[in-house]
Amino acid sequence: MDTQLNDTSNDPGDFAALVDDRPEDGVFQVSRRVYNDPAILEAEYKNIFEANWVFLAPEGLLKEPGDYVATHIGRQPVFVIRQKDGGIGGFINACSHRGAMLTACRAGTMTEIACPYHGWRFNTDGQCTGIRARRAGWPEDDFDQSRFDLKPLPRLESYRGLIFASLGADVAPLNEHLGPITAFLDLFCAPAPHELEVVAGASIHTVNCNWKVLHDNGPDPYHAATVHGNFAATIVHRDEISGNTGLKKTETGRLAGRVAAGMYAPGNGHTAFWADKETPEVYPVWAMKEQIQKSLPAGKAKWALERSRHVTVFPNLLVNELASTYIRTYRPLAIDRTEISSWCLAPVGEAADLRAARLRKFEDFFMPTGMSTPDDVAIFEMANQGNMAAAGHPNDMSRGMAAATTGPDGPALELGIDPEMSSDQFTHEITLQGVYRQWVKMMAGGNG
Amino acid sequence: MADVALSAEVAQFLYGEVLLLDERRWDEWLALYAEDAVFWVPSYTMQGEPVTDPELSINLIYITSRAGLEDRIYRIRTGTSEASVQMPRICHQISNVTAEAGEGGLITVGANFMVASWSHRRGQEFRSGRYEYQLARSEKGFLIRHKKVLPIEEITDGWFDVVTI
Ligand code: FES
Ligand SMILES: [Fe+2]
Repeated sequence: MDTQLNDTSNDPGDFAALVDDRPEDGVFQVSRRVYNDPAILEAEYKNIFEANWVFLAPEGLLKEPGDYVATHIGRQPVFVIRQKDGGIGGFINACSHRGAMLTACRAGTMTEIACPYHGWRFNTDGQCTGIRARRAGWPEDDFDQSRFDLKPLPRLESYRGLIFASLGADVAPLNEHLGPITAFLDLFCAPAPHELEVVAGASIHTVNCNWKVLHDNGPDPYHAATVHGNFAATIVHRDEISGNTGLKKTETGRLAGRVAAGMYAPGNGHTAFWADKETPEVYPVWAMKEQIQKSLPAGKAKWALERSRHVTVFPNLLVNELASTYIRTYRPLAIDRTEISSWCLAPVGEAADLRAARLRKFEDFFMPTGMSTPDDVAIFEMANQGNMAAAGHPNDMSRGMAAATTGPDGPALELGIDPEMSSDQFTHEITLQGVYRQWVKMMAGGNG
Repeated sequence: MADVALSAEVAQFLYGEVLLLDERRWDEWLALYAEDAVFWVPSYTMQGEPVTDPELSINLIYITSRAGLEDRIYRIRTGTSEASVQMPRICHQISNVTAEAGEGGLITVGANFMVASWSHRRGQEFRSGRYEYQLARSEKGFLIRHKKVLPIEEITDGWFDVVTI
């Protein structure tokens, strides 16, 4: 297939030339430069991560006033903190004096924030409350300390307990940005609103790959049969020799491709895919069947109980609803290095047997020391190496381009969403097409 | 107070266990574990503390039977796990072994470990931390009832499995 990619363009700003998007010819190709050129990452920090909504952390990590999580938006250190009045504040994690980070921990509690450098103090609202030897430096009586208040993040909003922020002030409201993804987030641990907690512990690991190699994998059910066939075989073997039934059993219908499934490009670069559950009774959510069927319309109840759901929110969030609710965020550390942080969300007050099934299945699949994620990580690193091959083909993401439905399909209507594209094929790549259309748009300076 | 003679005896046993891992003699390694053995690698909380209750936490690894360990070996042997087709060459160092006999004939053991690992894919890697065991005596020697592995690193680079830590 001929390619019209302008891989060697000397114009560093010509990002659109890196994605060959021709629906009329059934072509969707992405230059490998997007994965291997450090200049691209610099532009991504600026035009994507530091320009529009990014996911920061689950609210459940901020239980008591002063609890904080320190993270990054692109290159910039930030923190979110539970304030005295119960609200959530988000600030640049750099002192207003000479820029020292206010905390070097990933999370903790600080009811008063004391800068470790010259000892300036701030409250959880970000107000500067104390300057060491203030009068020696600024003797005036009417000195206005508020000019040293911490810099708040220009935009900060939560949806269903997931905290997002934007360094760009001029962006759409969060729920507008999320669009049809909100319908999926509404279903997590349905019947919503259902109080969720973050289970103790976290999965934090680093991978030698470009962040998009990882991001491309979230909306890619196509790889499961190849990469996770060994997981499915192991689980089938385990369940056979032990005679596991009910919650103890793990479903393999999705990995083996035996069930109805589909995917969406909902718009704004987000993605979703789903698969019917072959054995819905092995999932902890099945215990809430009656409540869910009572509280949701039939179509949505079916989604909540009988379909696994997998979404990505551009550029840095993945939420999977399998036996457990898995949330993952990631940030580029370098062109070829990415840090992944993941947590498990679970309903407050869940019965012990349901909780155990949820957590053990989470560990089996999602930990970097489990039986699936290591295979994903190994593949990410191989894909990243392969993507150094600028002299090879561009990456092809055109599967299903012609066959996909514009607008919603049947299951989408049941869920009440209106995605840009729908497909009833699990092995299609319309999700990735949506991702790279948004990438081009944002890299060209559009907020999407 | 650690029992010096017992510690020396247990140290020999631990050297033997990790040699089986270094030499990939996994069936012999599995035979050291009780049927209801627990193999636990805690994850760290966001605050940087290891989780304390494996039942109610997400753990790096929490396996509560020898059959669960056998699953890991079964998976490696499918030959289609990309993370396992090229197992790293590994070399364990064990030090600071202490052992104390406790109630019910159980022996509580502590040791430090370091695993050096090399693979073409990820080059040289090092992992280090603490082992804690509960051992029982059987007619064939010690039997592992409980093994806790606590790596010092809060962030896992790459991955590891029950046989490479
Ligand atoms: S940098 Fe924070 S007080 Fe000086
Ligand atoms: Fe995967």
